[in-house]
Amino acid sequence: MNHADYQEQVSLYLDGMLGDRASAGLFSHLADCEECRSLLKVSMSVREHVAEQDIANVPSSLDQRVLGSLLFGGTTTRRSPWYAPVWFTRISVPLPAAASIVFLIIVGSLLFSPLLSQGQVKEAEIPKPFVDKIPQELQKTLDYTR
Amino acid sequence: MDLHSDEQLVMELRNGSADAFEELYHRYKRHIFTFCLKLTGDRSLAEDATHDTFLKMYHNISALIDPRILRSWLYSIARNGVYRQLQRNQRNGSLDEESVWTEETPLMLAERREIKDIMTTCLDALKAEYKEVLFLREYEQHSYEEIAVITGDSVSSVKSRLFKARKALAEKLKPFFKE
Repeated sequence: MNHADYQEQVSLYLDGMLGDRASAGLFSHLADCEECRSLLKVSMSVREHVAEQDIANVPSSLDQRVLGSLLFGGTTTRRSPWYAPVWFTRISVPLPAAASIVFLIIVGSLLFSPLLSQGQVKEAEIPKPFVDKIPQELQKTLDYTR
Repeated sequence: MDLHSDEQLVMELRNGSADAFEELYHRYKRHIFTFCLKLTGDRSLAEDATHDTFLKMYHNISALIDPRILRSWLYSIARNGVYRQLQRNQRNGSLDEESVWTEETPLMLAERREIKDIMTTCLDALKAEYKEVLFLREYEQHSYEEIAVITGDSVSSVKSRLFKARKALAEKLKPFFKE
């Protein structure tokens, strides 16, 4: 048996497909072959790494697509803008664009804010009929504060 | 705890039970979605492939002769769907090509030197036909025979692809696993 055969046996050994006798032969070869030892070691690490990976979460929009199209009488469709309800539609905006929008909103709200335009704010005038109904004492107070 | 076996649910689904469909969907959706995601590396493609898989299950359930192999059957549908999409997107090479890798060179792209990141990069860079056998074997722990059913290949072809994938990974990763 040559080196390539032993390499294939490493793969079979990893999958539990190698008999006891062949396994014993493989291990005596491994004692002398660095390349086969490396194949076994790396393959075991890859197995461990793959097994550690988390199973992916299915987005709720996919549940809606699959169950919605079959269970609630709809026709089967590909994902399209009209299909998904707007509340379940994921809107993707690049970070710089999102930051620019937030910045413009803040600047815009400050520009139009009464805090920055105090001089231009007109004081509300109380209509004469209402002023007449205000007691004299209170009218003096109002004049005083102004 | 599963209240119903796959066989029971398949029988109910054949009689048009929406509850059976929903239970089967929730039972397998994450496995199928993860499988599609591993093969495509693209959430949008994986969603479409998962969607199509369950639609096909619903419409073709009468074609499933042995309900005990439902799981393998679903993987097979998902796999075929993914391959169709990959071919459509021209992101996949032919099975006859010698190379195990996609056009990307994994270690050149791996700027992060953490071994797990490098392993992930290498796994992602494998061609789909090698990635699928590794995933089905190492993650889902399917037998060679089950993988052969899913991929539509012979058991010897499955063994060969697993070996090629492992050997290619070992060659790339060897420098990071010094004795």
